Amino acid sequence: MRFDFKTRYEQDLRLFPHRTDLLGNGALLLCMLAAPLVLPQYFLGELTFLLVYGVAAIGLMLLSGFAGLISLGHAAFMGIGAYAHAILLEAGLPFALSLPLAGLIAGAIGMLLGIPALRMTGLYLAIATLAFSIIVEHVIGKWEGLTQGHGGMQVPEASLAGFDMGDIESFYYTALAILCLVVVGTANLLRSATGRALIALRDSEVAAQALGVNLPYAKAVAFSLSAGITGIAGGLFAHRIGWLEPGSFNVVLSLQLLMMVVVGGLGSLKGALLGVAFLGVLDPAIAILKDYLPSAIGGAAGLQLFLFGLVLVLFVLFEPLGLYGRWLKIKAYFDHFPMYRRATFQRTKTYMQSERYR
Amino acid sequence: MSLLAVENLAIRFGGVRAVDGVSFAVEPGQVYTIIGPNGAGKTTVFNLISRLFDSDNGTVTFDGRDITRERPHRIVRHGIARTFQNLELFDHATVLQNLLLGRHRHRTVKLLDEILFLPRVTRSEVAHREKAEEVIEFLELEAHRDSPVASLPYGVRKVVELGRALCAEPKLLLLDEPASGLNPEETENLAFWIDDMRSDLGLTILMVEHDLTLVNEVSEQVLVMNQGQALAEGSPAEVQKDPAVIAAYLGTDE
Repeated sequence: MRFDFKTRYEQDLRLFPHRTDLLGNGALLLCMLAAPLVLPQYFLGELTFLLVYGVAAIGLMLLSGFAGLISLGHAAFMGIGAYAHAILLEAGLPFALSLPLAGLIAGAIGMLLGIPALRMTGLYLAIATLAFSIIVEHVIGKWEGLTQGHGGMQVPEASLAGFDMGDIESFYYTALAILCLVVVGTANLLRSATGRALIALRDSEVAAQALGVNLPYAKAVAFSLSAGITGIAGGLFAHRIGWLEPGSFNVVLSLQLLMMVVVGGLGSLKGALLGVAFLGVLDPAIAILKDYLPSAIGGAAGLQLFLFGLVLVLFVLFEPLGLYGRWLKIKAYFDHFPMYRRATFQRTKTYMQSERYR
Repeated sequence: MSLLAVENLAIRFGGVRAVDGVSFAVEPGQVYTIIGPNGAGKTTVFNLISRLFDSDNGTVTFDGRDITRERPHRIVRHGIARTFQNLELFDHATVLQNLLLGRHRHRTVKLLDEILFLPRVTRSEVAHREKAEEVIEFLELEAHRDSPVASLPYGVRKVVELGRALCAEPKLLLLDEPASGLNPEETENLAFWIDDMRSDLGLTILMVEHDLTLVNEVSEQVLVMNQGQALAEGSPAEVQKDPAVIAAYLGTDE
């Protein structure tokens, strides 16, 4: 068993409350830093994709997992970020300037989307964001003067502090650094007042308002930060794929992002990253599985989407807290060994809340 | 001067006059209770004061300021905190996080400071934590500090919601049926706390309550409402003798 002996309130504010957290995260970071030395090029490339998805998943987690605003259109923000970044690079801006600007542009558009979203929650918001992403896809396709339309657009080469972004190792480290910055910034936000306000927004808007949370402002913050982070992920994504087409940022990508945060566990940053890792394993696993299945099943179109959907449904049914929830249970088992009780994680029924306020 | 003055307040939902020209005044340091049969409009009065609804008519004055058309999230900054009849807690957050959200009106740091977690953020967080701990001690919530609200029994949740309102350090506390769903022992605790909040914390309390034992014990002034209108006002003993009140609760002989 582990006991917490805390003597100062600052201890509760730490990013890593326990020494074991620090060790675990440090070890993970070391592994990530050492990966390019051991991994072959192909796997390193795949891992870079996961880092980029990680940034986007953190962005979506902030909006959907913490503020409780479900978005089915986050691919649009990746698209906006990717195109903005590529166009700015084309215009001669350096990487170090164009990537944050791409994030800002996506964030500003996210804030605009947040305004109609102030009056919508749940399913309605999901549909509105879905519509938004389809509109963005079409605008990118038709605005040929800026985006070269459906013909596609070459992502210009770029370098950061002398490192060529075309080189997979340099790019890997750049993406890793940005992911770390995004994770730390988001974690900081979540352990202070604004982060709590987002959680308040998710659980009860009336109470949040009664305690002084400015709902329109808080939602605008959630939308713009989320869109901004996702836009930065889009900028990185652009370098990784090298060639931009409107179709790269379609609904399937949005669904994949949403799946990452749901499977990982809504309401935790670690969950977002776990979800990304899970999908990173699932995707190639399905590709390998195809070879071993009878051709009628293995070759069927949509097998991958079917399995994605199946996994999502199974998670929602059996582990609504996602992989992170499972991890918490395993951790609690060892923390409290041999006194672990299953009931720890069983919640008493939710009492009726007054529906009339919503 | 009264701390809270409600003048001729009215709202209608479709054809229903939920609140129909109610006036009353709460003096500083008072425990003022609104009672009345179901559907009398008691909670609606609360929702009008805390600006969940726009009133059709009338004014609400708090501490000398007209707050009839104040924006809802600014009400708590004037010094009015409230609880809800059916609990509006942040279920998936811990008790401590709920209480710290009660401190939201006292927030001083900026968004960018928070993202960078500058030392001033740490300082303000620790200051808020100290205030929250005072409330935890006052309401004896120590054992539940880190539990998620969703895992707590109803009685404790009620106390957490009271604590969250106290964390805002209000001048006026609106309690919407604080004793509903509590057992006699918990209700007795609540009576002590209400007394302490008034005498030690200097709070003024406006509450809606059905439990007349509690009302008799803690309240000085009672307003009886029926069908959106004020029926009687006075001390608990006075209003319970009022023939109009008895008629509203029990019906008449005719």
